[in-house]
Amino acid sequence: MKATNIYEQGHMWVMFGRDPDKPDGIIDTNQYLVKTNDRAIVLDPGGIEIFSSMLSALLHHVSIDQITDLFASHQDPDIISSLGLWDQALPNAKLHAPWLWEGFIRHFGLSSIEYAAIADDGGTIDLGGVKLEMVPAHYLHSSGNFHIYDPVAKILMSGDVGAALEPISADIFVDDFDSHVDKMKMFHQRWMPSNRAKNDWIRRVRKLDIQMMAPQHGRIFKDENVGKFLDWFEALDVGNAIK
Amino acid sequence: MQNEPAFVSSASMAAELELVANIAKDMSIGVKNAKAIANRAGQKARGFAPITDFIDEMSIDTLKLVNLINKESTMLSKIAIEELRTRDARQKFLAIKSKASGAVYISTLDCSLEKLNTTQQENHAKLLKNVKCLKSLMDDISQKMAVANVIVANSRIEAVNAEEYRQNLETIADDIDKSCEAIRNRVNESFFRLENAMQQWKYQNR
Repeated sequence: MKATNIYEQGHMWVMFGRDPDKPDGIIDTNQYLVKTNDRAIVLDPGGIEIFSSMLSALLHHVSIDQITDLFASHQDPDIISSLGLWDQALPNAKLHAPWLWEGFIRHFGLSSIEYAAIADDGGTIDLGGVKLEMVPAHYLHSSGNFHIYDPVAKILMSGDVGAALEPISADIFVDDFDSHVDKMKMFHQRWMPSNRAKNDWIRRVRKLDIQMMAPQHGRIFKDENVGKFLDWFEALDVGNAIK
Repeated sequence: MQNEPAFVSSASMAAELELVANIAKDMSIGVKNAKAIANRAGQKARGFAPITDFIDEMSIDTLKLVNLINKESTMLSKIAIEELRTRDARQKFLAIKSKASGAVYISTLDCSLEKLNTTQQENHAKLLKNVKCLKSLMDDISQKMAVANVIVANSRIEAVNAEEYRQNLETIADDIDKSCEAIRNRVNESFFRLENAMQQWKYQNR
């Protein structure tokens, strides 16, 4: 699995993805590690099928006992179906995940890790001095959904917002926004159910200082491409399965 | 059935034995009917009354045993699933140790691996204890069925003396015989499943 340092200044962000060992037929996912001096959190740690590659890749950057927290933006299997295995690897960790999905996510197997339920309004994870904000993103696409904003690194981990369906050979960053649109359009129109939720999220996110928007699938948006994405998304009509 | 995982075998066993409970319940109803006939027959079926008491008691005991077996086999299925998950995690962790052998922090996985080894050993101990208990409960049922064979033979002899009630009592003896046979078959089937579950488990843990 490919690991890319996307921020390193005091603390560190690493993106994991483009896994060549991934079985065919499952969607490629991006996982993120935020590491401080003595603690680390894995954001959307991924599905059971990529667990071995993911943990192998992580151990190049962080020790097991340093991973104190996990974050699941929502309940989908590609986000957190590996939970039963993390539960065996990190018995003292905390899982930050939407309160709405607690009874559902526990079906993936949770006996040692503590479920830290995120309230609808979000909250903050204090990772040894580095404060990560849990930004509500309900109905984008899941009915209980959060993103992670790091105001120091100016990175927004945006879950399925900004996602693109691409082969594992795809670049890490969006270079040409216009040509990238085709890879995102269907995903957002079909998976995002609510224009109202979308516009509310855009209004709140525009107030944040963002240099990088890092989705769970596809490429990362940098600098002016973040604004371009927000404008494009605002104009997009979503929930198009209803004719 | 040959290659089914241990947790499937034990869950199937619980379902199989649920049917034994139904047979035992039917037997209990049949015996109440036999008691009524024996009462009506009075002196003509005086040897039949203690036999019906015995069968009644045996069907109640069988029901209790089946309930216990059900609990134990459900527990066995849970332990087998826990064992499977632990084994899966252990195999994955070992693969990671080999795949990422050059990773800076690879040795920090050892503690988790050690815990998995301990859990696996605990699960093995629980599994063996549970299987021993199940076998003993099944033995109890089999022994009861062997005694029931003798009792049914006696009840046929008693039925011969019951004159106009003879046919009724013989039918009842036949029904009890069939029920015992069905229970014996189900228990044998379950025993076979249990043996299979153990073989699968041993094979996977070579």
